[in-house]
Amino acid sequence: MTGMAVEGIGLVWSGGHGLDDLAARARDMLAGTATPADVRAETDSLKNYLPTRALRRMDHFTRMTLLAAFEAARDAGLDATALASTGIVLATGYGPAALTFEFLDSMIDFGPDMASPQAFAHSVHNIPAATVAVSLKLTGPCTTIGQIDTAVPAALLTAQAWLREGRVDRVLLGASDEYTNLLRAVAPRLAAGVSGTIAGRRHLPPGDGAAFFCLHPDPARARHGIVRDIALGTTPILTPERATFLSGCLTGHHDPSKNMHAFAPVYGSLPVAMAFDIVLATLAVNGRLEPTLRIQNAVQCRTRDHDGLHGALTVTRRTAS
Amino acid sequence: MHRVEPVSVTGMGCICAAGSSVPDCLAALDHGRRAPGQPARFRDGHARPYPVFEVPDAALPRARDNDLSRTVHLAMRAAREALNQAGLDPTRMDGGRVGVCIGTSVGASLNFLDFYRRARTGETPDLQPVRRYLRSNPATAMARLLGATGPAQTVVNACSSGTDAIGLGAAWIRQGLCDVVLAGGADELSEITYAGFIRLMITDEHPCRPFDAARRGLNLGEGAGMVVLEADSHRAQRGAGRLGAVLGYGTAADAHHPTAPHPEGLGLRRAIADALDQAGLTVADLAFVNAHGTGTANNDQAEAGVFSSLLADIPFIATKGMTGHTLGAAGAIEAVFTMAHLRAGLLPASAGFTDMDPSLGVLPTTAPTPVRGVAALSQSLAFGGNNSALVLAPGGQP
Repeated sequence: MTGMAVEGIGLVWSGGHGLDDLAARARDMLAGTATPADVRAETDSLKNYLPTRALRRMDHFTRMTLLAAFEAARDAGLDATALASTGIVLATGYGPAALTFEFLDSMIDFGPDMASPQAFAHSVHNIPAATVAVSLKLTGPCTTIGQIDTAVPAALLTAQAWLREGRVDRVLLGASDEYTNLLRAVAPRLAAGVSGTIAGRRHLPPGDGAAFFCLHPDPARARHGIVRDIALGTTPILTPERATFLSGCLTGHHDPSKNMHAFAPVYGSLPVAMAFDIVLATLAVNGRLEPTLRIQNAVQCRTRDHDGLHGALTVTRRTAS
Repeated sequence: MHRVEPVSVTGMGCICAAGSSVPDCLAALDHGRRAPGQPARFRDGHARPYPVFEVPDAALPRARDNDLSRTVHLAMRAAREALNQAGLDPTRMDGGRVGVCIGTSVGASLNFLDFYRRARTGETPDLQPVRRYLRSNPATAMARLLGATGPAQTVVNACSSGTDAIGLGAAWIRQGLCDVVLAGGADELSEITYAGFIRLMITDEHPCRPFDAARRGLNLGEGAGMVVLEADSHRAQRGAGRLGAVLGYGTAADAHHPTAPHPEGLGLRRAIADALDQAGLTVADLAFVNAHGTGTANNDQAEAGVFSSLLADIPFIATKGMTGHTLGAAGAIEAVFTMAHLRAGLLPASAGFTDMDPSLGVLPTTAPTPVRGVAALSQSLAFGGNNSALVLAPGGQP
């Protein structure tokens, strides 16, 4: 297996919904006119997939996650039968942060003996992925990875490992993080304390969104492209003369004149930004960011966390080497 | 599932309320010495007290370094023990392809209560708790502290995290990503989770009693369990021995309920089947099982159904009566215990258990029990309906 075919993509974020919205915002940014939306994502269309009753008490993080997962499966044209041997991997930086803070609110306001059990139970990091499993009736492996800036390449390594060892036929891989007022207040203070190249665009408002991919080992299924050459470690991975999309602590190194772009103004400051860069890379290799970015044979997505851990991967069209 | 090659374990480390090293923990388990008490590091604030299994401060002197979370300190303590046993220098891990794969729950949560309390009243509190959180992701912090240059991944699958981290770390070795992987789980006791589990009404006011007729829930604990997984080519090159092996790993979702296990353990059965398939073994090859055994009504019922049908007549032990429920660390601590008990050929009694629950119809070990076989199973059930299992072998096997 030399890569993972992207069969389907589901996307929801504060700036819109779906690939066309993202492509439009990315073209705006490349033309120098985009700023991140300082709001939360709209998830009303989740009612197209689940009855209102099932959504009544569902938190925003889980709603985004679930909506992106449903839309990725739909985009790939997969029904329940096709998803029988499917694993779920979810990457996140902070997990369901709003629910975590809701539980803290309940402890402070009402005391520990009256704190909200609902908020506590659903703030556990793996509950959103479990909700995807319950809602799509997926009984394969279901794993959540939690780390800032490098959760996405780590999640891709997990998906790749599962496919290589024949654990599943397909992986539904997602990435989610949400906007909270506390993160909004803290972000510029944190960014102010570090040097410019490390801070990059972390002073921007926190992003809010989820992206999901249906990944399959058969390159013939690559409707959107192929994710390959996934790397995670402390050694920087550089491929000269290739378009590069930067996230995490690397955003400060963007240089459009060298075809190195940081799309944070499109999606905000997101610990799982690399997932959005992968979506953008599939758009770029299919010519959907033209005319502001000409069609690319391959795009490298790179990230780095504040510990110096690098993640990298390459997105190609189905036929590219 | 395809059968896979075993992955060698060359070092093990553990710290929890039962002891601050693997030998200490095993001695405590053998003698049934358990020490639940009231939380020492935070104000309880609850009308009724609930016991916890806390690591004494004396066992963790480096935890005074406030730049890192207690979870990372626990993890590093167990990691140093495991690396030393493997004959690897914890201060020089930058020489090869070394990965770090760690499970946690509390260790990745935004649990800065005092900071939050002040921020929401409009104050501008010092950012130190936030900076500590950002510097304390267990896997990336450990990779930084050890100088490890390979992949680093933090698994946040609630109570199966430690089991999953070992299973994923073994895949990294098999697939040639790493020569050495430090894998395991770590979690600290927190007043947030303490309040949360009490409010879920699954915490026992008495020392916990897994599978017992009188069980009333879990007690929280804290700790870390670590294993050094090593490619055989790397191990042979440096002449290192083998303490045990990961033969197989299985993981499956119940897809039944966001927080409750499937009452018949359907996901657990699939996880066990996959782990055995990877190992190329059958249930008949298992010497014993280390149960998840939280002492809650739902968990023990789901597991008991599997013990009485799929795993009938195989001895099983529940060790959370000695450690408390260490959440993201539990699966790793129990994997260490499983390999150690396989090597010893003897299972101790299950602390806290006295009377069989007729509605469960299963009996964990009640006295020292000789065990013999090529492998043992360590299983974990988690919030979210996650189920994971490891098939483990003693050194030299199979």
